[in-house]
Amino acid sequence: MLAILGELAAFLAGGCSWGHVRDRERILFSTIGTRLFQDYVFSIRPNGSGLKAVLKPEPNRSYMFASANSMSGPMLVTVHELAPGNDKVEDHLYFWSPDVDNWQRVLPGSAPQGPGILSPDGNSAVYCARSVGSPPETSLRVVDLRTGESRELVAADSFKGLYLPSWGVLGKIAFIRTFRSGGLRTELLEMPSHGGEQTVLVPPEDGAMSAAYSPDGREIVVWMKEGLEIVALDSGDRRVVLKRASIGSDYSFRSWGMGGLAWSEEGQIALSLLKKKTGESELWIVNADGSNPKRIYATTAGQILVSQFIQ
Amino acid sequence: MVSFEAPAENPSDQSPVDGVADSGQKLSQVGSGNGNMDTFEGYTQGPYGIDDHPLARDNANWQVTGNFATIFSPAPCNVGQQTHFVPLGGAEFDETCRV
Repeated sequence: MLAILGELAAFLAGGCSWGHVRDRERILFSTIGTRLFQDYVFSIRPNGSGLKAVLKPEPNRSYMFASANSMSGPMLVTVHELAPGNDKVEDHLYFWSPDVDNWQRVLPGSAPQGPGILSPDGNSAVYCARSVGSPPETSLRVVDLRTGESRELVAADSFKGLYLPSWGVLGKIAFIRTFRSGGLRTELLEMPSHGGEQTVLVPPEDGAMSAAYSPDGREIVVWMKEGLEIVALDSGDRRVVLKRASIGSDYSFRSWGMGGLAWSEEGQIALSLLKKKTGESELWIVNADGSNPKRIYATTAGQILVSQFIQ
Repeated sequence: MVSFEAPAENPSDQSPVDGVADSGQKLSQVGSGNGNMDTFEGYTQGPYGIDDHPLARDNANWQVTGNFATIFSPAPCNVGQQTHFVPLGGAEFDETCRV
């Protein structure tokens, strides 16, 4: 009986749609604030209703990015916090259990660490590890969240940047590699999550900026030169979902080195765009067939960084 | 400071840049504020391209410089410099390298 009442409440709160998955689905995203320690993690329904602050900043601590497989389950959170001595700020990875509000460090504070995302089974995470040096170097590492053991997935290279990992259900990790050759070039690569050969999915001439796997892991959506495109991983076939030209020249895509796109079980894609004229950061939804693109939320208090759809 | 670079293929987009030297100098104090530093130096850090200075005085006018020559050789864009009022609670200075 209680379960039925819960469904009814969800139905009414969700705008009276019978699509149960859609009712339960939420977009997890963060806003990178325009001032120190003003970074939030939010969730919102795909129809733009029910905005909820999942993590609110504290005086010496804020939340840059969160990754989770469900709203109630543990979240991998990148915490931006004041370092001992109070003169600098560091990012640390934590495993947060919302039900008991328990925070656990994933890695020792001295270990290079940056934002990360959970594996589909929730047992591991891939994260950016930036070493201090000149020039700085970033590697991609995978940590087993049950044992705390960390291994290198992609080695650092002084002349190449590594950003924006995405973990698909078929055991592959995609990531953006940047390098300079007559300007900043970007390419999208994919490799097995346990290591191995790297495959180029999108070459530098197409300017990939961010990517997210489809729920079945067989396709990947990418923001690139022409706009939002879907790449079939078996055939390499590509189709444009949202043409850059169709949304106007006043919009740009601002990458934050992590996240940026998400793909739902219901076939919707979430992305954030920056409206240059107003400085508003906007959260957009578009169906994977390209239909019904719409803005569902906007703010000038920070830059929206899409993480993923969760239930 | 937050440092970005416009990719060659998508010049209207922005990608964060790691390792840009940033420095700041307080020009004038407007009223009482927080912090105790009148100058700062540092490097933006990946993957966000952010360098925070929590002890820099707020409620003051600041001149902030971003020098991309620390990561580019030769530097494709000039040193960026901005002068802004920083209110109580702080402010963000964005520098974007466009080739």
